[in-house]
Amino acid sequence: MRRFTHVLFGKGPVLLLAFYVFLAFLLMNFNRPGALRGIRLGLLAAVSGIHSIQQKFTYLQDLKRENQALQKEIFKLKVINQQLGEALLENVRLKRLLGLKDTSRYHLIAARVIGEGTERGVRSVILNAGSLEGVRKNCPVINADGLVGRVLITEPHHAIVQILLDYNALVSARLQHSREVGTIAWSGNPWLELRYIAKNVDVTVGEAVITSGLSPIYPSGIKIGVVQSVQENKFEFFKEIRVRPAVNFNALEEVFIMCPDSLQNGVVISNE
Amino acid sequence: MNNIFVRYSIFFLLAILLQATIIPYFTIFQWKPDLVVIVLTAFAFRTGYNWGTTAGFFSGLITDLLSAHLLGLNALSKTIAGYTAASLGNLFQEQGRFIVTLLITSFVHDVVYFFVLTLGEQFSLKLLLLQLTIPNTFYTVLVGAFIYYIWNRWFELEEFSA
Repeated sequence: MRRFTHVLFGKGPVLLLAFYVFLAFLLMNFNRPGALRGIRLGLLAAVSGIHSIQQKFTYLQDLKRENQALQKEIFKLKVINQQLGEALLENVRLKRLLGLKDTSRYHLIAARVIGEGTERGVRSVILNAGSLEGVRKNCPVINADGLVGRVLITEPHHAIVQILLDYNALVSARLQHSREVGTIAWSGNPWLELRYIAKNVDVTVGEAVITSGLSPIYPSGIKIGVVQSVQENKFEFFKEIRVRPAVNFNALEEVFIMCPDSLQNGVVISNE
Repeated sequence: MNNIFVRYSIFFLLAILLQATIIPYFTIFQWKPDLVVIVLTAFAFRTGYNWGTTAGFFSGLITDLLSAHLLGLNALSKTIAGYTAASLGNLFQEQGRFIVTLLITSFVHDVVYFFVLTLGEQFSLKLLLLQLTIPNTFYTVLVGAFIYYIWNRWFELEEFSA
């Protein structure tokens, strides 16, 4: 080992660079080795810790502004008020979620976004629910507004979610009125693209785009967005359709993970 | 020397954690600065090729573990970035060299990163450069320059100065 490192470090920087580049390419093919899982668990725990510190810091800042005598009472009232407000919002959200046109049974696992993936240009998010809460790989992730993405990696108490604003995220989608099926993709812009819709199909601006249900991952009827603009290029076979996402990805806080597996502490949604 | 390694290990870890927790709040459109590249540039600048390249690989690998993307993608781009920063550290000897080094290192890093990320996809190089690489690079340099200024003013350590 010592001899190996001596050769690498001693023979010049180019050899070392070549070695690491080779190793990186090897990792790309080897994707997600279990040996590194412990490091990831540690990192996720640290991210979770920082998130809770952030929350505590904000909380303490608020408390300092309060008058000492009224602090306890105001605090109690605030907490009650906040809980009621949250319950009301949750009620509204769940009512909207129940309106999904999905006949199959799904268990919703509530989760909070505690961090973002470290990549630039594209974004994944880290959730505070993992395999021990019943989250499985490829479970769709939604919020009250529509489709957020799908779970890519699960750890015991965390999950990493690939959101729709990702170069590799492709979703089979349907135009709500014309029922035409296309593919939702993202290419680095603030909007999504609905691809493979033929030129003879009538598409109106403002029309909703929903999941088609043709993919084994996403159930049908989840709102993805609305048609923002439709263009035709005479050199292309298909229409160029821009879709405004239903979800505001810059303000993601609470999400629901839809898992078809049986769960103990999930919420069941169905049309039955 | 060991003191430098301990100190920079903490900086790297801090940068990676902040990148996942605090930096998202500073996202403008889809652009955000890369703190790891800033720390890596400073480290490679000071320690040279071998340690710069090694630090690039391992900091990239750890960054990859917090991402949903291809394992090895950040390891590759940051290895090359570490090597670039060390090479430029040898070239520029005058004041202000850190900012120039950071500019070039960050650009090289982003070009490699986005090129590999979008490999096989239908993206024009012009689009990648104008929409992602160049804005991200300038954002990183802006934050790097700010840290450089604060660091020199408050701590007056020797890392960045000539």
